[in-house]
Amino acid sequence: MGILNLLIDYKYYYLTGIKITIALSFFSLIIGTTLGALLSLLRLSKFKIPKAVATAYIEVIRGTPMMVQIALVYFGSYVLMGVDMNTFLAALIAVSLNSAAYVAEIIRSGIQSVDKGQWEASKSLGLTNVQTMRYIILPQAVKNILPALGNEFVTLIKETSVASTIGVLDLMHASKIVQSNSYKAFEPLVIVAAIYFILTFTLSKLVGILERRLSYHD
Amino acid sequence: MIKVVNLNKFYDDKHVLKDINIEIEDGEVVALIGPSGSGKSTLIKCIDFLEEPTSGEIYVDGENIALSGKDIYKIRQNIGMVFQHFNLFPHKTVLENITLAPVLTGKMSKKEAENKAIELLKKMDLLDKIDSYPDSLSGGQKQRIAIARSLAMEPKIMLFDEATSALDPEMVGEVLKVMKDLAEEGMTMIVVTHEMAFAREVADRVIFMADGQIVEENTAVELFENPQNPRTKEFLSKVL
Repeated sequence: MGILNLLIDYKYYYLTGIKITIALSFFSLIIGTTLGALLSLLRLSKFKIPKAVATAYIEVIRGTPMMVQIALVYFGSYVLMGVDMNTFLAALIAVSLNSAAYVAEIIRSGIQSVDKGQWEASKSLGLTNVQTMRYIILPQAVKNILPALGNEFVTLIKETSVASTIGVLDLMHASKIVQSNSYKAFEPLVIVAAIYFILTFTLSKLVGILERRLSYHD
Repeated sequence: MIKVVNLNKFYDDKHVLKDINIEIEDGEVVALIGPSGSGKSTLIKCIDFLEEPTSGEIYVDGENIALSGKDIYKIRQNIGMVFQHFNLFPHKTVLENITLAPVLTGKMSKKEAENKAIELLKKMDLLDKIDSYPDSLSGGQKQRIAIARSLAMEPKIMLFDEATSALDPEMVGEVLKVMKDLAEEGMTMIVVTHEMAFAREVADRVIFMADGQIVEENTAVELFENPQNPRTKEFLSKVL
């Protein structure tokens, strides 16, 4: 069986690729979600300038391809600042900045989906805006947006494959190496698709478990 | 206790409250009645500063709330508010709903707040629901929990915003009874209501509002028996 032999022969490349893809996904997810949460708060704030900046940022990121963004970060850091950036770092920055825009929109919609009466009730009891956000609004928002957030995380894992275009040794890159070394075009792609699927499927199952944990009623 | 001076409120061009002046004494129960859209709810939300007045002054215990800045949170702790749609926190149990604010505002320790909650739930006859989530309760139960949640902060005044309007008819009585008990205990109350029998029986004073203005105010008996303004007469003839 050709596929199994390929997997064994090139296991070093695949394992390295898996490690890098997981690392890139994991750290981008953490950074992207944190940045996204901050962006969503800016977007919802009453202050005009931060709000405009956040909105513009989100629109530009969503309106341009990730492949372009990743190249802009990598080559731009050299052209603009003279920094010869590590490819992994460039990919991490680009994927995080990209994901932040999508996460920001998801969190914004989650916060807005919480009934206005919850704000009124909380404030009428004497809680501050920050306390209301922290104890009343965000817990309900997170529950509402978990499916969408899970979807975004799955997309993020798949999108990290674009990092191979600037030379990051991720899973997609491993697949390209195997293709050229083995002179086989099809089988390495089947392998890499299966590995990506295992990663994303595991993640969406984990999100599903979290969703069930958080469903407090019914 | 509460003094409202020349209060005006605009939503864009819409003038929803027009030169409102009210004074409410300690221990007084005031019913606000009037047709839908007359500004009753907006008025009591202004008193809790959930709606910002466009102009005018509101004094709570002598303090102008519009100038209170950050202290608005402290002032709100003394004002309880009960909403038409209950607005219980669905992700918290009944006990957590009641203890959340007293603990977070530093008013009580967790233990004190829990004791207070148990005392209030006993009074509401809902102690068996202490660990339930709001979604498993009936409308009448939800509203009684919401009242308990407000009372846990030991407010000096309670505002009721159509507290029985969203209830099934058979549940209105249980909520009105709680409100009546509260009034008899001497709580200062402003009650926006469509329950005329309740206003008549419980309120010391009734204020009739229409089109954002106070049209007439009087003792409950006088206002219902002997309305002066044609607008009041017309309204009462429709609802009584």
